Amino acid sequence: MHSTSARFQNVFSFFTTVAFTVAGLVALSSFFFPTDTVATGSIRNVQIAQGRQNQYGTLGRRQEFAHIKFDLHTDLSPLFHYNTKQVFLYLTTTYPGDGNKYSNNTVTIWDKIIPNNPKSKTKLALKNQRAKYPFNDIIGKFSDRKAELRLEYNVQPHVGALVWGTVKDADTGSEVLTDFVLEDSAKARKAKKAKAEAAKAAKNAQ
Amino acid sequence: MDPVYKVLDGFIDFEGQKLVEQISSTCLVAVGLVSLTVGFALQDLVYTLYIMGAGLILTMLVTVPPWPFYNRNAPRFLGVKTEKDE
Repeated sequence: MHSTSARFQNVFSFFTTVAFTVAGLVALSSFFFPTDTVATGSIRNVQIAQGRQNQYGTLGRRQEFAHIKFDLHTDLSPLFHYNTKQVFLYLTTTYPGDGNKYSNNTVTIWDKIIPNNPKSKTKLALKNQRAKYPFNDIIGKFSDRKAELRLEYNVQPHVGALVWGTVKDADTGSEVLTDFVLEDSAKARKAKKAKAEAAKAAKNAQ
Repeated sequence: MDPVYKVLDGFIDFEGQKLVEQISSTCLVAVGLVSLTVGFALQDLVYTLYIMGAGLILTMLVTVPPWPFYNRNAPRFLGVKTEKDE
């Protein structure tokens, strides 16, 4: 402390210690904010269509793709405290594997980044929203497998640890928002055709 | 140029150095606590950052330049020793 530069270095170095301690306390305090969030979600439409994937310039084999449209209502304000920088929200679909080689599948079909500023909407009311990412299965067919929809979030803080979680359903309290079926597109088309022909035959008989 | 060098060197006596140590430690810890409380109460981390920055500048203004009140107890050196014959 005998010279100006010595005093400056001492004071600044103690300041960095204080700053890191404050940051550590801010990070620790983030664990004490309750994170109960609820949501209601439902599937509007699941369209399974045959298509080809254009990956790296090559056309792949013809396989089934799932195009999903959903409704989602949720309030995420409990997740936004002073240490939240942004919340990464994503919808996942989980469905079982083909029973032979492949086990459970989890696909992210929609996501959204919600920053922590007064302008961003923490209450979501999405109606007939198209899923951002249509997906296919590795064996190319869905074969009427049952799928579950989950809404998950990742709270990204200014300082501290990342926190992951799943938003619970408002009515049932479970983590699964809704169930739906990924139907076999060939079977569905045949059934639709048979129904149309039956309706036509009934009309002709009248 | 001599007064300029004096300020740049920034010599202060030992009592002054002790005072600087005490002032800087207390001020910086207090600034940290205040900034944390204000940020938490107002639920905005911007206040924490700004208060810490302002606190650092204030503390430096008080402790870094060699103010005269740090130089009140000049160290008493012993007199010059005369050569003793063996």
